[in-house]
Amino acid sequence: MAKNPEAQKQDAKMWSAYGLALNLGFMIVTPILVFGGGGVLLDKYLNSFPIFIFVGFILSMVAALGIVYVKTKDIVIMGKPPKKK
Amino acid sequence: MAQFVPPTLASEPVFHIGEFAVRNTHITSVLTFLVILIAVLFLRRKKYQLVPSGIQNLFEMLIGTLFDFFNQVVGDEEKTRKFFPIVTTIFLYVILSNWMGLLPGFGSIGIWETHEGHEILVPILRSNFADVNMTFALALISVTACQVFGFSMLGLKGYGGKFFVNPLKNPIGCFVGILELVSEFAKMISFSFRLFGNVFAGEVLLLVISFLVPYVAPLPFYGLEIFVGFIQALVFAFLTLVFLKIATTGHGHDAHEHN
Repeated sequence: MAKNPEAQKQDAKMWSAYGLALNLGFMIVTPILVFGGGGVLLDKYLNSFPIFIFVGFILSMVAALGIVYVKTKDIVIMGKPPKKK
Repeated sequence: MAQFVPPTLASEPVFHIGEFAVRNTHITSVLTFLVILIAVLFLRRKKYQLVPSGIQNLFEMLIGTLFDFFNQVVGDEEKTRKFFPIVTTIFLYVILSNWMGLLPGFGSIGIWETHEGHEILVPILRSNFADVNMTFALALISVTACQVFGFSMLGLKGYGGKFFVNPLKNPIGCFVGILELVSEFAKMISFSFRLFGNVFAGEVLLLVISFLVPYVAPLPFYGLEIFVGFIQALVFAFLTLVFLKIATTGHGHDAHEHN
């Protein structure tokens, strides 16, 4: 039996949430690799240990939190009804 | 006593064509492609019937079930029709590769070569996705498809606006754009390492069990690997679909307009 559009949208939202859950770990690890790794390389290049490692670490924490927030918001938006103009 | 040799992390070259090394995963991927091609040619020869029977019934059921599931995930039939060919191809290719990797002869028939004074067996066939290059290639295809669909459905401004925001007008939006860019790399890493990790771990597990107790004991693990092969193919296809859906959904107010 065909579902109504609202129920279909809710189903889609739930599946997107599963997708987010499957990817959450990688979303947190990637900024650490990018910013943390960048910090390590910069420190090696500029011989400034441990300044950029700390900067990279803080940036990666902020970025990881930000990515999780943005992705969660995307899924929440998907399930909302369109705004009336 | 026989010595246990764990499988290598990278695929091994079997022969060379000029400078180009043909690796065992190359051979397997060509074989997988041939199996799909033969199946398609066989189905085409049978001709499409309005009232299905036999093999047509089976394939209609398979395609119908996949379409219903994908439609449930996307929640929009028009979009599902656009995404269906690429996602289904990925699913069928991954599941077939994973299951072919469990056939006898994979990893066990090969050429003995001497490396650094040791005799080692270079298998002629190796499970496709037990090589990180293959999983990364498929991840690249999947992430590129997201960008192509994103640009084609939201336009240059709509999709590009997710990543590039004027920092003078909207500094927070600019930072979020950078995060979105970083998360594109996260997609590639998550796709490639999840599939590679599961398939490679399965290979090692089967090898260890077969080495410890060669008869009967590996059977339940083969069952487990058949299940893992299916689940990983489904997860890869499902995640591609979710990313495609998110890529074709605009941010904030745009989202409502495009939905």
